[in-house]
Amino acid sequence: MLHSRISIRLLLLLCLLAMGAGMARGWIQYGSLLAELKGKPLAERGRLALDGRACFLATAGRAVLRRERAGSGSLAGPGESDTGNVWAWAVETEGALIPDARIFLNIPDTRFYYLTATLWFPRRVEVSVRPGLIRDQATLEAVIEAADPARWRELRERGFTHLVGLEGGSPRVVALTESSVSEGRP
Amino acid sequence: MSWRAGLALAIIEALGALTLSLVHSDLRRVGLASKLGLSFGLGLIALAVGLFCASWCGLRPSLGLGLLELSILAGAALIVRGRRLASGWMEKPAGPEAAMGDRAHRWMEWALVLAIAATVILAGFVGLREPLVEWDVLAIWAHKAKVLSHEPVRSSGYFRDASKAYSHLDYPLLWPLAMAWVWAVEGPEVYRGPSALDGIKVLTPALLAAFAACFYGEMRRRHPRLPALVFTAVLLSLPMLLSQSVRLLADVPLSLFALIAFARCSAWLESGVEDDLRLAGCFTAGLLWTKNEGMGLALVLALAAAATLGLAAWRRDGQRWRAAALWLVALPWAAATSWLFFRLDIPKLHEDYGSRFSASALLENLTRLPQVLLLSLDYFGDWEDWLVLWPSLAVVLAATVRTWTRPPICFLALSFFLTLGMYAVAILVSPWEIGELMEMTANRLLLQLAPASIFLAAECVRRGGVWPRNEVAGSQRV
Repeated sequence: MLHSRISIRLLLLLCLLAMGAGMARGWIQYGSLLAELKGKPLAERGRLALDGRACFLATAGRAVLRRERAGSGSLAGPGESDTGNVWAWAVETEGALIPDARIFLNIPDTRFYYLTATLWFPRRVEVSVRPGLIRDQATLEAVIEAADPARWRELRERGFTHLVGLEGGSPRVVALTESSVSEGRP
Repeated sequence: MSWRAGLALAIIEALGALTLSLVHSDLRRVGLASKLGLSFGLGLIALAVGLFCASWCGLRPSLGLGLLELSILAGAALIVRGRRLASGWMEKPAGPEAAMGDRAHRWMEWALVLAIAATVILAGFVGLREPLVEWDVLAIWAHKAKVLSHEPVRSSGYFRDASKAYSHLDYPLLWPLAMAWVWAVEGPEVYRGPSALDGIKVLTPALLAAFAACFYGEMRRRHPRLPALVFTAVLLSLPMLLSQSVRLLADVPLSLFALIAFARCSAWLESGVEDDLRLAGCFTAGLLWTKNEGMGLALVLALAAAATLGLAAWRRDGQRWRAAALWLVALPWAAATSWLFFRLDIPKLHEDYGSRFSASALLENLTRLPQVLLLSLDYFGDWEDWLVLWPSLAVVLAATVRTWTRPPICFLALSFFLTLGMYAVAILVSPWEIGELMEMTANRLLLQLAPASIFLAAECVRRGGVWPRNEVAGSQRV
């Protein structure tokens, strides 16, 4: 009985030491991240925070993902740094939009839709002229409508002020003005 | 951090302090750390209830609304508590003390205080420097916060907008209202611009400090200073708690509320002091206002309390049953009525776990149980997020079975196992692929349970004689 109690205490002491070591490692991680974030502008800090290679917080809580990536030798998954880029682009673009803009998003990607819908709020971001159920990537793809230049006038007449699409793989905002609508290009 | 952001936090703290004064009949029995931590938690709850009702009446969050609520609570506290209001906050109780108070103990205590403070400060500063980036927080909680800042719930089209179903239209609004409050105090148009992404992060250090204070306060009521600090350091060493606090996930306030609700209910079952029961009831209301899982946690708390009451020596004491029914069931749900009533009208366009909790759904999906159990090992044994918390808890529980199977401590153990079971069932009946779902949710669900689990472990250690006896000498304060 006494022996078992002593061994349990010893085991718990080891556990406490392990927790202490983990706490000390946390100080190093948070201290380094704080130094990395210091002095950087908002967009850079956001990009850094979403980069799985540079920021341990980007994969916090994702045990299997971390293990898979550790196995593949890379801490960032395909497209992960893209999320940081989308976030930074949305933050940088926000200032160029008029306060009551209504934006037609023509990119079938939840990262663009979810992030711009919040970051540009209260401006409305829509992917279709008809209301549709969007709860994930599949439903977004089912709802989104094409917005080729032939439809720009219709979109403008429906109250949209801007169109966001991809041009050469990069996001681009087009103001739906009378001239851009007539010419079918920005 | 701007002075306006500091003002937003100070008003939350003041709202909570006044609520605490109203709920707790004798604050002289509550330690200062506990008072400060509990005040922040209660402040968040009082603020959410007040701002939601105002929003329902057509008002947006504003500094004026917060000050109005503060005045009402101050008036009520003065009327109810009178002169005792100030004295209750000034005096501090003596907690259990170690019989052996030598110099080495003092050094250890100071080292632990410094370690806890360093953790809160470092993670808090990272929280302040890192903007709001987390996918779920932006898509769900911050989106709702922006909607609430822009328009009252009464006239908002958001709650019926199918194109925003991904943001879970029916999720409770305590955390978004806290965000909207901070933005409102920082400036009426702050929520519109990019500065909102930095300004809101003031909640991180406040939440972490409140967590540390609350946990230490709850520990200190039962333990001498050194073990209370050891267990608080264990909590603050958890990478999952720190990371999710920095990223402002709603699971953090939920786990804070769960900790207090379960700890105070356990104290009431033990001592019968109604102040504890009232606090448990207030934080149960907080659970209902924070996340949908909060409803499950509130149910678990009521069931476990009823089971423990049934086993206790005073099981035939009708007054205790009535008090439990009033404070653990009737009042929390009544406090959440406005939200629950509003929620009835919100279409269920995303997952609807409520309708999937049935015996037939469970039986249909029972074949997935081995997969859930196997995958859960990935999370329970995950060093990166939990260090060795869950294996340590398993060791403690295995070593103290005779302790935690007896009332009143069986309440905490029963709550722990019922909550785990509830989450397992939720994962089983979910329509999603199990591996993907667990990767997204398992650690967050465990976070909701982790602080209360450390509290349970500490109780088992104390009562099971695992900690040296001379460390737990002294009387327990109520």
